Amino acid sequence: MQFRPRILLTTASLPNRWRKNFRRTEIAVIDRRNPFLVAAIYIILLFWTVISVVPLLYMVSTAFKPNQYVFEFPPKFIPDNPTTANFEKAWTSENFGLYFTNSLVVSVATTILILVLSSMMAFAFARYKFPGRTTLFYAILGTMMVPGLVLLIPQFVLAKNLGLLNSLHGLVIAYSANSAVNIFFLRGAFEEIPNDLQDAAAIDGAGIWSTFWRIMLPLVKPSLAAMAIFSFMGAWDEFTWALTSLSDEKLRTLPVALRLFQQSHGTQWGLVFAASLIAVVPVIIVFLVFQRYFIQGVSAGAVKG
Amino acid sequence: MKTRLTLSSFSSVFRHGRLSLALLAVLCASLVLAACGDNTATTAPAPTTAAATTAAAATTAAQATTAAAATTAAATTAATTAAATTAATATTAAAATTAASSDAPALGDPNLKGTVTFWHTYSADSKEQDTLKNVVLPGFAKLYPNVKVDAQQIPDTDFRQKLLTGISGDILPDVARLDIQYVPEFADMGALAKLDDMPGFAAIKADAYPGPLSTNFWKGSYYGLPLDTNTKVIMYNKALLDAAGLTAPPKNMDEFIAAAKKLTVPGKQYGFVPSGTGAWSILPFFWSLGGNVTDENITKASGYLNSADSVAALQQLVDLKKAGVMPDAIFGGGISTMEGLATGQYAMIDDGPWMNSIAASQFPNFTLNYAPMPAGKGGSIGIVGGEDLVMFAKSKDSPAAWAFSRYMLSKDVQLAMGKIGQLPAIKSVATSPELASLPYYSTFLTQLQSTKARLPHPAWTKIETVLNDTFEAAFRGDKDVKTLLDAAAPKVDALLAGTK
Amino acid sequence: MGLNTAPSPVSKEIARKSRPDGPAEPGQPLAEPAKEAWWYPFKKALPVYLFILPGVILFLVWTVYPLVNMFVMSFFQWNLVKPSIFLGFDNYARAFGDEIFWQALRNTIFYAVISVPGQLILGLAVALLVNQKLPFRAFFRTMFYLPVVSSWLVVSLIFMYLYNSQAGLLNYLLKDILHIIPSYQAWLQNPVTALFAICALGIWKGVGWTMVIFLAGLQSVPPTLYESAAMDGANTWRRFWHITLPLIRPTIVFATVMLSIGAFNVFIQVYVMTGGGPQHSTETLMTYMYSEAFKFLDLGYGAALSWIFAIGIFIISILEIRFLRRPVEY
Repeated sequence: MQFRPRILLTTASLPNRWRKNFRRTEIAVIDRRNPFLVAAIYIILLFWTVISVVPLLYMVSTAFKPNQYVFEFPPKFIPDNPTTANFEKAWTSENFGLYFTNSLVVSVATTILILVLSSMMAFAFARYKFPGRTTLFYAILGTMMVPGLVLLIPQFVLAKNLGLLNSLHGLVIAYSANSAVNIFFLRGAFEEIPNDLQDAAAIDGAGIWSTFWRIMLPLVKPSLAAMAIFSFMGAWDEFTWALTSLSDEKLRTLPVALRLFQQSHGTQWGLVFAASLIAVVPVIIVFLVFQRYFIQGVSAGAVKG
Repeated sequence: MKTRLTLSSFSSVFRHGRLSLALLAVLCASLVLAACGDNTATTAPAPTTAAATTAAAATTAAQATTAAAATTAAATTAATTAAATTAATATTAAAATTAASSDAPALGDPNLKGTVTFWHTYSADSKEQDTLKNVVLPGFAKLYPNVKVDAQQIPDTDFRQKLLTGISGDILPDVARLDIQYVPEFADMGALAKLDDMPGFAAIKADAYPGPLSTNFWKGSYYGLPLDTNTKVIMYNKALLDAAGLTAPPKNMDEFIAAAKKLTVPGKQYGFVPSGTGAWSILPFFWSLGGNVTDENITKASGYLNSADSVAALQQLVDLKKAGVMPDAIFGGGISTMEGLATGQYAMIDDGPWMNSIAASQFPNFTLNYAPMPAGKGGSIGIVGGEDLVMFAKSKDSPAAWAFSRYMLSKDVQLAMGKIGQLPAIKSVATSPELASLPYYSTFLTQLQSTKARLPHPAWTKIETVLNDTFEAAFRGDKDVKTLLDAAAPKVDALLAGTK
Repeated sequence: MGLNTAPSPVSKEIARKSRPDGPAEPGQPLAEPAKEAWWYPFKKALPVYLFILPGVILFLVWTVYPLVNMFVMSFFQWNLVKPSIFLGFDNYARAFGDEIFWQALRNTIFYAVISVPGQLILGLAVALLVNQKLPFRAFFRTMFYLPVVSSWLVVSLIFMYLYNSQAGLLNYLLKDILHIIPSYQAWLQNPVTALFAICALGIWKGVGWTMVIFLAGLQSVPPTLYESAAMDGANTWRRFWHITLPLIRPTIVFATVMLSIGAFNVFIQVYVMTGGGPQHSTETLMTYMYSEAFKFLDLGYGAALSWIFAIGIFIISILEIRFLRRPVEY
């Protein structure tokens, strides 16, 4: 990176004659009346925006380039002769329509399964006391520290014995099992609910299921929405397990299929990026629409120590 | 919304030491699961009971491996001699062909039912795929209307790994188009079906060229059919050669090296760009310049891989890199050779007949020109590539799979594929006038007369890794060529001997 | 908020929420004699057990059992094709004598040491700027987060293309526009630069996530603290150093632990971009484990490697939490 990040944070490294002005500012926000400072901040923000976005835009531009212009020199952002041939080829002859459907089916099923299972677990952990609760809770917590890939080998062996290799429901089960984070997140949400509600339900003679389904679940809808988005995205983007466990062409998900174009005699970049766009655009749209839940979901848990 | 996730929870895990308790509990629970659970694909004893007996098992296994090691060497020599004998039988006994074909049932059987899963590496976005989908498979459907073929394209970079996971996970196809270099390895694992006694095998065997046929031979049996064969030749951009005043492509290595230098415009145009620095890319030039990897019987590399001839051969290639004739793209990550050739940045490359189809599909305005490998101290030596059609031992539908395999070797299919760059390994097809008239065909056919194969040895994948690393280091100039080859030779020796 | 205040929030939480009769079995009389039996609490909690059963089964089968089975496997020569052979500690001994294992370990640590602080510093910097009440800050936040939502596979492919050694955008930018480098570089094919190139991708993709985490942390700092500090004459730098930083320490620890776990898990970008090459210079623990297991079918050795990593990651997480947390007073 070109700049020293420290400069961004504070006025500490500004010249003294500028810094003087800040001594007496009342609160922590910077002085918006200082045009230099505001301009500096915007320049830095724009700089990082360019860095963040240019690679993605470059992908979009390349996806519209015919093969012989993929490595033209100097590189052009707006292709001279844009074509949609790459998209047509990817969608039809390279079967990305099918792969898209596979990804969609797997991701939706995973999302539903994760939501159901982890909200039930979270609810029980948050609102009931039962022998073994703490033990189980910490056991699940502990697995959060073991990243998923470490278990790839034994899970492969297990999936083989359970007949879950080379099938989409095998993917769904593998993806749904990795939901420790969701359980903790939702457990927090359930704990926020006042006790009175649960007591009232108990007095009405409601069992655990109806308390959960009719009273509690509707109260944590925003958290469920955040979880849904994350589960969906996680399943949509997952690569390693799909690569290892799937062998049938018709079952490929989008990330695995993207590897198709990386062949030993060269990569067809126009086609790769057209297919990549097919894979990435839905996620970006989901992000832009549900941004609020995203931010909430990511930052939940980071604040409370 | 605030949640109680995370750090407090993490830290209390360690503070209260409950984690160990929890883990202990689940450990016990799952040990029970483990005991009654799986061990391997075969019904081996559960781990708990196995512990007692494994000591014995280990020792027997050790003996078995040493025995295997001893036989490997013998087997490789057997393979070469067997190839020689098959060649002899094939060429001498023309009568055998007719005799053999009499036991071969004609293709086509409307009563045969089944499904065949076929994995192949025909390039995506090329005529290979088109021909397979639009010519080959419909043709099969006519002959066997009740056999469904499920043809699946696997990227060649992942193919070997996909097969390995397939073998370990029991998710294999029935038939695969397997690169010839991997046949001994998979046959040695017991994954492939023996084809010697299949009806019609003798006829195919009798009509096949001995070289490609021998790549299917492992420890006394045939495990595949020679689907196609290939080698690499020089391909050049005629406009660039004309511009440099070269009227014809170079014929010998001295001319080649001079031409490559002449065609280089520093930083802009590169004279000669091999497809990489791996064994597949470098070996033909290494051989043609007089280098050798092992002795003729493939028993040792010391004294061959690091001989004076080998060092000199590799040195000449490395010098070309140093002179700027080759770009850094030979280490990967740059413009692919086809792309560079078609766009006028590379003057000469080397590649195989499949490029004909890829170029036609991806660079329709560019005409490929071909020239044989330039002859050097070792002659004009091409590298044998190609694919074999193998059937898997666990195929659930072997009659249908075999019908499909035979069909793929039939004249129609071989001709159709031959026209787009899949050179047939079947004599009766290879000599047909329809193919001989193709522009690229004669160059490859001539080159195929003088070729060498990569080592037909189950340890080839690992030997190849050693060679790839050595060549790459040489081209990078990490160490001098002699030091690198001296270090590589004993490693290859050990792999050939079957020790780790 | 303190990390080491005892009892921990979690246990306090449990104490507060747990009521002796609980709503699990509302109709149950309290003074029933059977309560004395050891199994009574279990019987009482039966509906809850049934309720969480599906989730627990999935957890046991898909996480706990593989963990244990991996331990068993690591003592065998295990390849699913031939019968397994018991090796004792051979797989572990082999790992510690394995040159490439050590190189993979060094590379992974290098990746963590470069990419984790890189993401932390840049993420915090960006968060501080976006936290200012300036127009368009929502737009910037969205832009910064876009790399995070793009899938790893796609961004790896994009960066491969940008890093192209001849016609890549990065080379064009650095040589032809900025004239910083004398000649085109093969970023991913040069053993010296390849790992840096992969770190750069890691940082690029991670800054958005770190920013959001820090934004949440920054917004939890009470503004009154700044006001009183300003009255005491503390300048912006001192306020950042003495108020902001200590107060967001839990967030920093959280981000560090999460980013480190992620860094040790680095796989897709290496697998796709370099495959561990050139000459193992980008080989990481995960790619090495993967290739041993699925390219050479040595599942037992792969399992042993996995166990070593799992324990390593666990220890590092503990150390990070221990070293980074400190009393917070305000």
